[in-house]
Amino acid sequence: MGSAGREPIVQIVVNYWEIPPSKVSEKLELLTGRGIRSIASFVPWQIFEADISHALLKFLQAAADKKIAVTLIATPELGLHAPYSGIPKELLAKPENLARDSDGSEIPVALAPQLFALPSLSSPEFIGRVYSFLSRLNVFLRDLGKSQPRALANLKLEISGSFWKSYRSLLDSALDPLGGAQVDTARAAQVAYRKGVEEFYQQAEFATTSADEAARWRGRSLERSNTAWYFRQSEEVFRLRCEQILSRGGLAVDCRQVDVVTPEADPALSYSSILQRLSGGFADFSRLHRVFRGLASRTFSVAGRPCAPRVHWTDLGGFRTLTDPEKQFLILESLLVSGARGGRVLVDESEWFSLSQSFRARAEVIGRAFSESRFTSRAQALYLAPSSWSSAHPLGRSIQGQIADRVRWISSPADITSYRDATLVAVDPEFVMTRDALDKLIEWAKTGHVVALPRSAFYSEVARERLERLPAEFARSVQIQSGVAYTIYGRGEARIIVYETEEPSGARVQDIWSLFARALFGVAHIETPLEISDPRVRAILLPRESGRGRGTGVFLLNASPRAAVCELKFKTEVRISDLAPYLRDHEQGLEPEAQSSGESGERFSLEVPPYAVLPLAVDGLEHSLYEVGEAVQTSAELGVSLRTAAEAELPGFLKEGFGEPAEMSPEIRGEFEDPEHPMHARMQELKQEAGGSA
Amino acid sequence: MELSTHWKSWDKFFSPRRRSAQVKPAPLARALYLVLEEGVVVSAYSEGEDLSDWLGSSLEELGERLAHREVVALDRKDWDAALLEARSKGHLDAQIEFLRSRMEAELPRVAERISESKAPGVRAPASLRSFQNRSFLLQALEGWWLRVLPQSFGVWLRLEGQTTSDLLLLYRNGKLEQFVEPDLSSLGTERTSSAEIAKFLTERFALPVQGIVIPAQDWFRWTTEGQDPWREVWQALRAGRVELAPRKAGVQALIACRAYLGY
Repeated sequence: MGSAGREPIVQIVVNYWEIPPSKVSEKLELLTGRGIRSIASFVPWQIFEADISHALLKFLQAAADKKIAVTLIATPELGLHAPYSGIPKELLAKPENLARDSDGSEIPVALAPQLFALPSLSSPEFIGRVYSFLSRLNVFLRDLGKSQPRALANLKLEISGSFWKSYRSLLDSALDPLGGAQVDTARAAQVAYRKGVEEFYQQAEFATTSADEAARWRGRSLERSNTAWYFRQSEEVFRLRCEQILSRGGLAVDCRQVDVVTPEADPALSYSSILQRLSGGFADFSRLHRVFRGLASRTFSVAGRPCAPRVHWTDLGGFRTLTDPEKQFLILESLLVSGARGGRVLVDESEWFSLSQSFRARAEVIGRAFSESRFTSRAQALYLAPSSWSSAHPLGRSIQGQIADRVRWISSPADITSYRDATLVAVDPEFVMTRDALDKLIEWAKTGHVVALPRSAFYSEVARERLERLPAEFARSVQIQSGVAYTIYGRGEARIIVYETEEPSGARVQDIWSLFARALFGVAHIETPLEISDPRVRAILLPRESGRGRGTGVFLLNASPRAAVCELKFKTEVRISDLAPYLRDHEQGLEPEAQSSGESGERFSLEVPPYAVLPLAVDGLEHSLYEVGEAVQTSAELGVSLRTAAEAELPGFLKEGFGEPAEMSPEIRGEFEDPEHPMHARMQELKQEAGGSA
Repeated sequence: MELSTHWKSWDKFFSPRRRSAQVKPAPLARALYLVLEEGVVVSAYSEGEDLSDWLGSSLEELGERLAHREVVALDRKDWDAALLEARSKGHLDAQIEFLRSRMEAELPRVAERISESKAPGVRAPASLRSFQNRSFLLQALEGWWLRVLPQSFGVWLRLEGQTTSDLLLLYRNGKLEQFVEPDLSSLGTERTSSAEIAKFLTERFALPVQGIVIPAQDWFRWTTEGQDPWREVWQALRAGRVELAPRKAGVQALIACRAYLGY
């Protein structure tokens, strides 16, 4: 499971509070004997505050003695083996501290050791106590750092979004894992929401509107968007506040923002889990798998930086009752989905060691490939939605359905720059568009990307004016009236697509949006390089980053209980072989050999066993997958370099983007375009310099 | 720290079954469980079946797919209310038992609901109790034994195998209040006999504790597939494979009753 210096992708969760203090050392000795050098633990709030036996102190001391790296997930989370998941019981006894769904009902959490109602992070008393707990944790760690600095040397703190993602109704999420809106209708939450919305619409941008317009922004028709926006902001504020508290006093511990996803504790699984318990049966694998995939598809970002995912499989819920092949499948899929995005899989200790030695070794080899960045997951498309944890518009679902692991959900235009391979941003029709957000999107499009903007009622007046100016800014435009009506505006490589949000009557909604999504992929050069004949099998495509020839790791996943014989149809001729030798060579520190074995062709037939993950090495897919994105990125970087260099030498000459003669005065443009003029020669020199640096 | 409800140990002792090709679904698990919102399925469960495409369909639309099945169809609003009411029951085991009793009381209305499906042979189960999948030990402790056992008492279970596992069940006023993995580290290396451990737990928790030490293999066999577990317990006790600490005649008599008289 990795050395203390290298972070493992599969990390076992050790519940320090369950170990008698006198046996901590013995327990950790046992783990090091099994090759464990890095572990994770939650910090159950109630237990930490009542810790008279100094269990956490002894645990961290013992871990430091054994040179085991420890990651503490500091913020309250669900799925902990502690009464009420570590939340102080007395806080849950007060109705004013409890969250409520869209119907005004409390939201039950249906995971052992007991059912309880989810608390509201908007309750002043509750949030005050959360911050006070984190302050105590900070003081505890600072004191430990003073007396035993060594105990903090291999410690990391992680901050999660806590309960924010769980504020969803059981009814909506039972039908669709991320169905319905993320909302807390508890009184305190609603007061804070109204205040937040009021403050937001007092911005100068909205202040100029008429009384009717002002009422519309705050009214029922925009409530869904406002709620999504507000809860997104609240989660970010909560996370930043937690980070600030935990870092107080110059605490010398690395503090990271992560997304902890515990499918078993999700509202989408509540009914199923309780029915399973009542019947004395086993967990519903397909439901658990669907909930995991739904949650893992979303990303939250803080200050424009995406949070790395942590998929947590507990031994408290349905996961425990699955067969070994089912568990192994879920662990491997979590590893592929989260590992490639810099995330991790957290598995409770007893569950991890209940799996076979050979499976653990296999998972560790794949995990190491990710921790050494030999595979990465590249986002080709981004979907800008008002919230990470609410249901999606059919456009979002269509994009997700068609390119699954190559799309990321973002909720702020500031997040775009984190995804350098993306060529497309599609904006959800309910995204509230401000001038600043629109400017960012248009600027990004101008660097050779594609942005799909809705023509909706969710634009501020100034943003709408800016949208209406697009035809003047872009030289070409094409209108298309097929299913979803849209207009493509183009200038150079830049494309802005403005689409109508009203669907034509009589058509199947999902079908017309799927068609539109396909059109977007076409414009953004996002291809589907592999088609699989059996819908039970899906593929995760991860480019290899090193070795002779880059190639692509293609992982075929069959989540069904029956073997699937399927045909793989690649868009171009490729060479496929087993990925295992590549991984093995890397494990042994050898430069992987060029692929000499394998088969070439466009079509291949193979059988994927039940609950299997089949790893293939594929050469020849790189162009269809990523080279367009890379070319766009290189071109964008070249443009930025040129602009920087030009602005240094030619202050005031450029308005928006270098190499855009339309933005320059005719005289200056003439100078640039005249081969005889010295400015033209200097321009060519700058281009060459920038090209070299890019 | 000793957790007042050590769920992992609870599951290990009382729900050791893990799904495999060899394990047949529990009778109750084979029934269909549906949660309905205005007649439309919003959640569906039946062991080993992927019912995800049922979501959003009405009972009438499901029609033939319900034919000849036992169906428990619950109203979503009532069920949500029951889930929230169950919170007051302390721990998940008591909460599940409460929900089971609610479901049992709901059965007459379930029969009415599923009649809408018009599927041939569809029926509500006559009773959920007949399917009960509860451990033989818990059934005994929560049955008429309560009338002869003290008001508050503890049962310390020790499973011996490659490793040793302990679980202490604490009953107060006839109800299982806590299940603890006891911390025996303060006993030292000398006080290791079962009698001494039972005595230690009796003093620590201030109530009489009856210890039962059982080979882990036997326990798991009795729990998962035992046809007549009490008879096997009795035989193991007679053969010295099961140890009672303290060795009380009254407790032996209760076990014998269960083994030979069936109650």
